[in-house]
Amino acid sequence: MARSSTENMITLMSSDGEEFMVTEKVARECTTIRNMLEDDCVITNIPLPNVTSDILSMVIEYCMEHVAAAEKAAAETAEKGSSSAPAAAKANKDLEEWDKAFMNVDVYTLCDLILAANYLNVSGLLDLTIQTAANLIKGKSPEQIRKTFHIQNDLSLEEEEKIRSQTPWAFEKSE
Amino acid sequence: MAGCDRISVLPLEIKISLLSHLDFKDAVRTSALAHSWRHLWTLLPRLSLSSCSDPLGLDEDEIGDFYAFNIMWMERVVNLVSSLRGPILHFGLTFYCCPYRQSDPLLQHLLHLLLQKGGVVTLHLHNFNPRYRAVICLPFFHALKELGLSDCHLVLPTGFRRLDRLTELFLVDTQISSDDLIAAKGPLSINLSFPLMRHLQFCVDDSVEEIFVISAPCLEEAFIFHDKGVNFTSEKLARITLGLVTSIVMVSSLTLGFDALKDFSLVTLPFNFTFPRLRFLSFYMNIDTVDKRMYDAFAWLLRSIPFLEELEIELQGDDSNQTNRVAILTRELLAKKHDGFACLDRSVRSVVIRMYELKVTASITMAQFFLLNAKVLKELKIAYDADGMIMPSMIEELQKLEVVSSDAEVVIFDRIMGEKLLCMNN
Repeated sequence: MARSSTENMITLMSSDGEEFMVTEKVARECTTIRNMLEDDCVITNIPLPNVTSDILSMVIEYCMEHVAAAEKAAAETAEKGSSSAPAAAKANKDLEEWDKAFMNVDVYTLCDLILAANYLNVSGLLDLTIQTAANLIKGKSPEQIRKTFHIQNDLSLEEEEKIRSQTPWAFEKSE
Repeated sequence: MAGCDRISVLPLEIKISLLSHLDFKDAVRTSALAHSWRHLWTLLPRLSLSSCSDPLGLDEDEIGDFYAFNIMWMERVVNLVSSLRGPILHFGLTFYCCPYRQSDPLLQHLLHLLLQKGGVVTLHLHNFNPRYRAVICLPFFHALKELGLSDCHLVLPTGFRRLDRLTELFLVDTQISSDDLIAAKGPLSINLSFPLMRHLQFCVDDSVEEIFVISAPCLEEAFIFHDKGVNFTSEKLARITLGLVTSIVMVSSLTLGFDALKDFSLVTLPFNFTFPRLRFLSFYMNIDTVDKRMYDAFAWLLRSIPFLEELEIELQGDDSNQTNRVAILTRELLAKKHDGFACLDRSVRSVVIRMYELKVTASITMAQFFLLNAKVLKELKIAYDADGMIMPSMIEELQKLEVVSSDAEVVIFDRIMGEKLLCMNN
């Protein structure tokens, strides 16, 4: 990717001490970092004690992909004077496909990504990860959900029975 | 790390957000996962229920009576809402109103429960039974920003002006009246003031004498239509509609979902009237009802909007017989040069003419009018149905015109396929 040399680079440091160099534009995808940069514009090194290196690298990968897609769309609009609807629709679809492939992770990584997206305030990623987790819950029985997310059932049989009897319709098989 | 529960230890607001991404039934089912999940769903800030898709365990066939089912369903909704622990910020209900006002007390009870919990920001009540309008006595929700009602009869509380934060109002097939006015009897006049309102969707009916928006300085978009459908009007309805439309004078985008020219040809139009901020206008027009007075209404509309930029006209009717009176009149009125329309001289840059199931003659005539008169026109689109017929002679006619704007582009496209069929550029 050709970039102008004047573009600011920011170093993000994960909780385990690994450093990631990213362009300011990519870093700004994280609202938390954007706010830091706006408060103090000379900052170039940002420690992120709540995010491990493997998760941070994924967050950066997500931000880079989305920044690149937005730049491509903007360039096309500038070139043609107006964006053509079918091209924009295709670009959106491609990005959706990319998101879908990106979400092919285990539930631990997914939960860590939710936490990181929430902490760094990347709204697109937060929405994507939460929607992915929601899809794993949708239409499943409590037993299946517990198994998927390794949730320990600390309810006694009587308690569970009581909960189920309060809203029995929620536990009926979906039509 | 395997075998360890990461989702239950997520912060509360994330877990609630997670439940908000689920259907209500799925969200409630998480209560049986573990202790920490048990009451989570009762904190959901958003609740949207429909008697069709969320039967809440009731079986309509088993109950046998459709209305009995709906009453029982609404009772369950009331119970559900009272078991929620937090404020419900967004509430939506799609229901069937029952005859003899059986369901009204339940609705009212529901509204009071919501009021007690506080914080309601959006409220949507959609009655799917057009035979009976649900009576809604709106209590004073001080934070309410968005209100949507379908097939309801909205009774405004005394001092309705206190709904100061309302930014969106959608009233579909909904009649409004006010506590005060019902008590006072006499001719009903509704005056509304919305200091922050940005979007208004309003269905006019003739049960009142007049409806005025006395102040809506922030209004951006308005969609006004009639409760009796696009092709029915009366002098009274036209007068109420004109009163409403001319009272939202600061609007910047206006859609008139009725035969605006017919309506406005029935009443006396205010002289020297101006919409100073209006940039987008869309209206509907029935070709079959065209007469000379409709041309006056058309001219009035264009004169009232000095800064109009985009115009959309939807044509309907049957002008298949090209020799009939209607076609001749339209042709006579429209396919000519006219003077004195400020917006055509300096601001109208986009015109879209749409048609439903008719031959294109009328739209070509309409197109001719804009090509002859709109001096800064950039784009003129004629959108038609796949079974509409476009004839080479019509295109020739357009091509022969002396188009006033030097860079006007004419596009004719298939409304359904979106396919560009002709593109002529002078």
